[in-house]
Amino acid sequence: MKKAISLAMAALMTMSVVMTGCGNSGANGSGSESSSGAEAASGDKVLKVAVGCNLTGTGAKAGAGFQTATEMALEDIDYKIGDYTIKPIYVDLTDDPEKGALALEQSIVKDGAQVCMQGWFTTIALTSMDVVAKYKVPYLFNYGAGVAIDEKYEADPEYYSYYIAKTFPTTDFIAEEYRDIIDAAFENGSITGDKKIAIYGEDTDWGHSIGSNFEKYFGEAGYDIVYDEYFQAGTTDFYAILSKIKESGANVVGGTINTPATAAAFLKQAKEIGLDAQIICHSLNENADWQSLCGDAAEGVLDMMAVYVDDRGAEFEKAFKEKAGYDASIACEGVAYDCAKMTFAALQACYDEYGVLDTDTVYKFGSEEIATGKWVYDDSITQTCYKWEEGKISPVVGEDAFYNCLAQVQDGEMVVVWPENRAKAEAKF
Amino acid sequence: MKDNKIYETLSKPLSKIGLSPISLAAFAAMALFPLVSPNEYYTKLGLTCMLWGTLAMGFDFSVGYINVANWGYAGLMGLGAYLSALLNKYFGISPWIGILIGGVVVAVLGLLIALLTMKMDAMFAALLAWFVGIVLQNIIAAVPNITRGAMGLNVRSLFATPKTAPYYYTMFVICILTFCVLKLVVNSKFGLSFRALGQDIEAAKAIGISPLKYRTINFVISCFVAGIVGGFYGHYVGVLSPNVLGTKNVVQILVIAYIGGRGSIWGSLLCAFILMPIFEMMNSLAEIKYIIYGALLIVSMIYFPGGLCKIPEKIKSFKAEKNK
Amino acid sequence: MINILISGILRGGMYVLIALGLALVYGVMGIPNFAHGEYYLIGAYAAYFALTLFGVSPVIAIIFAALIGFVFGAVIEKITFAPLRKRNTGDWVTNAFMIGAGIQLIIQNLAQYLFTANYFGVTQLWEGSIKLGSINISYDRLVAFAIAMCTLAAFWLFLKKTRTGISILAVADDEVGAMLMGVDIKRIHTLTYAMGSMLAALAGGALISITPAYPTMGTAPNLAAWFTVILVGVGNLSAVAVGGFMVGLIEVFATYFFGAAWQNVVSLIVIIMILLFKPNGLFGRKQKV
Repeated sequence: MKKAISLAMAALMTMSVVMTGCGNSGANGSGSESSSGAEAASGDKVLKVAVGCNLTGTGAKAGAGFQTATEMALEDIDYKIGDYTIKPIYVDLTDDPEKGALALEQSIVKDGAQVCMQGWFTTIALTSMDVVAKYKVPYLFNYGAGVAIDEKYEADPEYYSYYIAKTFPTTDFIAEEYRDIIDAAFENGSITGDKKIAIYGEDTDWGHSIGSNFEKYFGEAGYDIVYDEYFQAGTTDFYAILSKIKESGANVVGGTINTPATAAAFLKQAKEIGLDAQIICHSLNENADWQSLCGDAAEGVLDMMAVYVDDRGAEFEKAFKEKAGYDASIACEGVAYDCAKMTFAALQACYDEYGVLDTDTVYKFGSEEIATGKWVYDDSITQTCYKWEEGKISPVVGEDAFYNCLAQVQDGEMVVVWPENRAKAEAKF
Repeated sequence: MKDNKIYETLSKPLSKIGLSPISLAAFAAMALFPLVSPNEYYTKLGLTCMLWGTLAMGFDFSVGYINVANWGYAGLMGLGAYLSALLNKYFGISPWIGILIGGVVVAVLGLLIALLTMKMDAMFAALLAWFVGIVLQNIIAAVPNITRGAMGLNVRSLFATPKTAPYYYTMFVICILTFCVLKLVVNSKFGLSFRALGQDIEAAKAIGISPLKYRTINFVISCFVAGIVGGFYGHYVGVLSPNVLGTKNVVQILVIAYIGGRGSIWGSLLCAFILMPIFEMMNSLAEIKYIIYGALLIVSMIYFPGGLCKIPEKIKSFKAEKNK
Repeated sequence: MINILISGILRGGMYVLIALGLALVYGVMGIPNFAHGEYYLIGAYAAYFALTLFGVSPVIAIIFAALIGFVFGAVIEKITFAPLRKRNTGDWVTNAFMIGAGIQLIIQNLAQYLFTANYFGVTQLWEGSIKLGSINISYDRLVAFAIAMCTLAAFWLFLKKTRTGISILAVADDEVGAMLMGVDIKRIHTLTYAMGSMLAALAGGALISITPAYPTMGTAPNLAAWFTVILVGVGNLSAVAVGGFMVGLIEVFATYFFGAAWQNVVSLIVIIMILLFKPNGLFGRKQKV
């Protein structure tokens, strides 16, 4: 009897692994076919692109947005670059680095992805870097902002050169811009008193990376850091935290909250408790529903705001709403669309130069032209242009390259107030 | 039956190391798997099955024998992972030693939890372990200067090569050792005491089995497994974040252990090899996957409390009935 | 300092409401209900949709939330715990705990599937605020607190003064005895579980303007409720009222003095101390060893 079990056990083990393999490719195949109807009509030349979206887990909403935005960018080019058909393979990178790496590996090994693109979480970007380095597959334009990616890249730029570039710089520039506007306010007397800043944030990679840059740049500029704490994402009771901030005497309160519920609670309670410092709530407007949750409590809050460079932004938002049924936010779906457009533009440029699109040529183009700054993407809908420089994985920052304006909530609307030459209104403190 | 004789003669020596001809055959199949695996993806998938299977075995060792569900299992595993990674980062300690140290520290923490709760209802141990897991997660997130918190800790890989095979065999060794040791323990007189305590704690106390002593021994061994596997996990995946310690991973482990069948050890491992690939396949289902997890858990709790490992017995009793 | 005190008390009031359901379900049915926070979630979604889709007044929305919580509780008890009770082998408490985990998984992910991971909230239910000490407390919070306290009082009267309430307490005390006295155990079980769920859903509904509805919102209240119950001693109903406030105060003081990230750490240390020195909880009554 026992033997039968053993046989069954061994058989089951191998079977299940093999079977799921087949089942998996079947499921994936059908998934991507439905999204690329043009495939049948084309010739033999196909470029399979793994599109990293975290379709499940904590970033599921962003992931769905990434997928829709990528589909839109593909529809724009009719799934074609030259005589190649682009076949997207949507990979669920989840919110777990192990599972994400496994999913990416699966798309490369089993589904035969030749190029990878998109991505959201820093932790998953870190494991993806190892996967693409292992298989020597180029990864174009991941959105990860975390400085850990830059560090990992710089530890061995040669090995990780397959990770061509990411589209969001390290968060230094964010803190610098806020410091500039607050400095200006102190100078012209809009804010008075000692320079005291309270730094807060959600206990996430994003929260910490913004917070530590606030510490650095405001600290260097002579601000007294009177409070510096992080709380769990999802917290909605801030009386204790805000009391402490109020008692610290800070006249600037800076940090980031990515969860709309948390941001709303923070701002509402700050008002209740009578905190009269200038609040910076970075990435508030990345959530399209912030207005419906905050009410008038957000009045006067400073935030960074990516703005579309021209009307194409509005067109995109309209098309997105039609396709997905909900509003796109520029900081998520907007950049995802931008990033996808840029990826296909890069592939087009590669095709124009070499007439071939495969793993090796894309890598060659990526490492020789994109990573060195020879290729510049100036057709972006969110930035003046995207460009990189040798030895850096983050894009170049500056008003003529990657730059986001600062905005303030005035009468329930986000209005650009910084830099001065782009401001639509004067900042009120 | 000739086959049976061979089986009998093989069983005896094998049982001394906790194996049986069946499990030996299964492990042999696992050992050969990378050689026949069509590509790296399957090897990795096999490794994932082994990794979570080993964790589920450790979990089952507590829940299936002394009836203590260790809700901090992912927390303890994550602690092992972070310890080994940090020891390597700050003191340059070799991952191999780090993994062991991680296992020992986690076992000590398990000892503390056990000493506090093992006199009480099994639920308290579950709850305290759960709290400890959450708090470990909070602490790791709260000291980003050391652990990098949610920003993600880059961990040195165990091997220079990116190929999966060496990792696979490392995990294989951990897996087979865990299996043998756990089997040996449950087949010894300890096993009897564990079972007695798990089934009816009052009756066990009446015949002189100390709940504190035996449950603590059991719990510590189980925690040690979590620490070791966690250490390996960190050096294998290459990046750690506090999410590893989250309740979601506990749920995954416990679904495997419960569906595999409590109190068998092998049921958990087998179940991992069946469930993990299926879960992997269901990835595209997103939330529905977890709804299925939950439904599976509830249905198996109510209608198949024995899980997979009871199927052979059921077949046996069915056959016996038919022979009558 | 007074701010902190007020904030702790407001927070504690909600914890009492949530923890009471948890303690009741454990005391009467022996179920350590791991899915308790999910009824809080159900209440929040219910209140949101009542407010926005049907445009009802806040009071009705909160009552609606409680009702939905009651119905969900009753149905879930009937399809999970009731059959488990019939077929259970082995340790009931551990098995029931696992069922709770399964329910939690299903409800959380079903919410995400149906409503996506978006946040559903309203800016406020009642306009205005009142000055207490140096802070303005919004009416929303005060009303939520008042609702919690009224519900608690009503619930207490129900348990002590009505026939059904007394039956519930009798079952908690001695199930077999109660059965011999002619109490319909099955009905009491379903009712108890449904009422426990109702209390959590009520809290979720009352706080909709403060905590919007989203799929994982139940986790934090679940944790706090468990802290409360362990703090005062599992199965001790009357002490929950004190315990809820204590947990609320411990949390805000921990946040204030040690920093937000250490809130759970401090709470855990308190729990460990209690398990060390008073394993039956602060006001422990009975404890199976």
